[in-house]
Amino acid sequence: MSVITCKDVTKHYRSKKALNNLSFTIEGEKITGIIGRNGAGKTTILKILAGFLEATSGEVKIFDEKPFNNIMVSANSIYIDDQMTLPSSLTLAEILKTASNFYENWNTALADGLFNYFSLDPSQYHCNLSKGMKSTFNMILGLSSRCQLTIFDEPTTGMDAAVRKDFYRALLKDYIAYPRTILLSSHHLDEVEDLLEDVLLMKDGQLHLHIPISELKEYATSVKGKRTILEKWIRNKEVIHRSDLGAETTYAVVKNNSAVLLQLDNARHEGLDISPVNSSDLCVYLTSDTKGGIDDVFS
Amino acid sequence: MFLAKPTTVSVIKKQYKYKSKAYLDVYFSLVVLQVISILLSFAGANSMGVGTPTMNINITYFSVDIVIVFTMIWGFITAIQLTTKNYRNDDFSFVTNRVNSNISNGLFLLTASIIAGITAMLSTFLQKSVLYYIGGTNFIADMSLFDYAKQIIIGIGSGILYVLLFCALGYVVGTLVQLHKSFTFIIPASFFGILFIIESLGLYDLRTYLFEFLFSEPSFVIFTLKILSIVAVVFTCATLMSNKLEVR
Amino acid sequence: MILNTDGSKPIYIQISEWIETEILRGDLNSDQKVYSQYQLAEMFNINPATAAKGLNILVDENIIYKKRGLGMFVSTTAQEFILNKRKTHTLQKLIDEIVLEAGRLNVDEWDLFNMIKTANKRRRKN
Repeated sequence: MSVITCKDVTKHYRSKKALNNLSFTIEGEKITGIIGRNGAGKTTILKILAGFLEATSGEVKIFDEKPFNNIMVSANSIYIDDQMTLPSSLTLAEILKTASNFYENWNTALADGLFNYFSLDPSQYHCNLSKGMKSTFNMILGLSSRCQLTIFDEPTTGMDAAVRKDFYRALLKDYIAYPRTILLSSHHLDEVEDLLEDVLLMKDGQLHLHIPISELKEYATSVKGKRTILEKWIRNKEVIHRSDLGAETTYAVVKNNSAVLLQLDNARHEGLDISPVNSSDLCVYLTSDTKGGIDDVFS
Repeated sequence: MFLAKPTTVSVIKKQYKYKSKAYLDVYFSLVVLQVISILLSFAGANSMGVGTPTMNINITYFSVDIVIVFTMIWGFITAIQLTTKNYRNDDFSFVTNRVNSNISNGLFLLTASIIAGITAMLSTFLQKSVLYYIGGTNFIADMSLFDYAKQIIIGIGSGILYVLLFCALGYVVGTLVQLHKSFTFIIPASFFGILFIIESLGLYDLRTYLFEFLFSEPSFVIFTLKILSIVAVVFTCATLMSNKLEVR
Repeated sequence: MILNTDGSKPIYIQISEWIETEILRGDLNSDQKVYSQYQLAEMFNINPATAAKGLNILVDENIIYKKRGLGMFVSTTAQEFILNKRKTHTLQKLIDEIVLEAGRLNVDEWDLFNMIKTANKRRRKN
């Protein structure tokens, strides 16, 4: 049984198309990164998976059931984001208590441990917390509920660097202790990429790539060098990104295939600099609308 | 993979338990409102005086009607509040679906109506105590203790039912507004519109009929059935309407 | 060891190279149990699947072997194999690059050889 199946999922908000024929499957207990620019449709698909929104057309299945209006899916999934609203009349301690009542797999030891570690005040109210504290508390809810489908949509908003690091480590350790399907959307791919098993790259409401993170690192190669030589070399290759540096030099990113890999030595001999592309830059190149990025505006 | 398989009943129970705790604030506003309305009941009492050269009779009517009316308004507003986006989203931060969410709201409002109905009726005792101790008034019981108790129970029962009715109305109004913001104008406009039509076309019979249907039913049993069926229909409508409502 | 995350080398390759180095240094001996994918994941803060991929490279090269239900162990020929592999692959690659760069800078063979000699002397002193 696959945990998530999406087939031709489309979602309209009035006249705007947020998702456009999105299809993918996630099987097994993996951590998948949902990556994409603002407005790519990440939050929309995650909310559909959590059963909050209903797809305009297409088929969505979580644990073989339709998620919208489904208590089984609701009981086995949790969606954490920075706009999460929690009852303003309950203290943090009471919210944890309530959540433990709702989620069967709730781990009290983990919740209490994290709560104390991050020195949250049990008698505080959620609405009075700072942005970073809110995210920290929401993250504790997300981890401790140990839902079979755990969705973190930009969970680190407002957290400082130390807390972010702690969160990623806590996420990893608890995932190892209790494997489950985790979806993690983030603007900071470089921060989370080591945690991920797969990446799902979205662009304009569509699926752009869905591959293991290790393959993403071998997806493309960057070449830099004299423009005339480089232009000859990149001919017949799939160029993902290209920008000119100064009058003579050009930087280009080409998609790897067997032909490209065979010609790398040859490129080196011609004096071109060959290097791998880091994943987060690659994702920016892949999802950008123009080949030259922001520079195109100024040229 | 271990999957939790919750039943509808267990989820409703959990939601109800959670709401009873999280929405405690509403009772605070209830207490404040009832105290204010009792004070107003003293000010708004009707009095009538008959005088002869040798004797002076002064009759003052004290009634807790105003407390009931205020409590009904409170029920209406509380129910609207439960349908607002924040409250709805809070439910979905935990485990629920739309039907369960509505049913647990209904159960909460029923509990709130019972508490509000009882306290509203009991306020007549508060009123009498105040009159007795502060006003120095003596009461003459005009009926047997049994009849009196029966009267109180019927009073409490009808108080509860009226509050529940207004909760249901508030709930459906709130749900409509959540479905589309334009109902904020449409509902009051059509309400006063209908009143205006009744007035201008002289449909006084209809008005009287509606009023009597709700407020002058002599049989308590039939009255209970009437109100409960209206409440059931209204709640079901609200649940059906909000069943496709997206959250968060 | 802290992983190099700038993208120059995939994490799983860094993991397999790290274990190789442990074996070369004698920190992991023949038939000794190797870290599990979960231990590696915790140590380096990486996804267990990535760690598993690193281990699988070593299994494919017969540097480590699987015992069903028990884990992975260092094979008897591991050290020798790694030594050979590093000589013929890693070192050779580095030398190719040095020669290429020397050619660009017009450094002849003799000078290059002298540079290596000096570097070696310096290393011994330290």
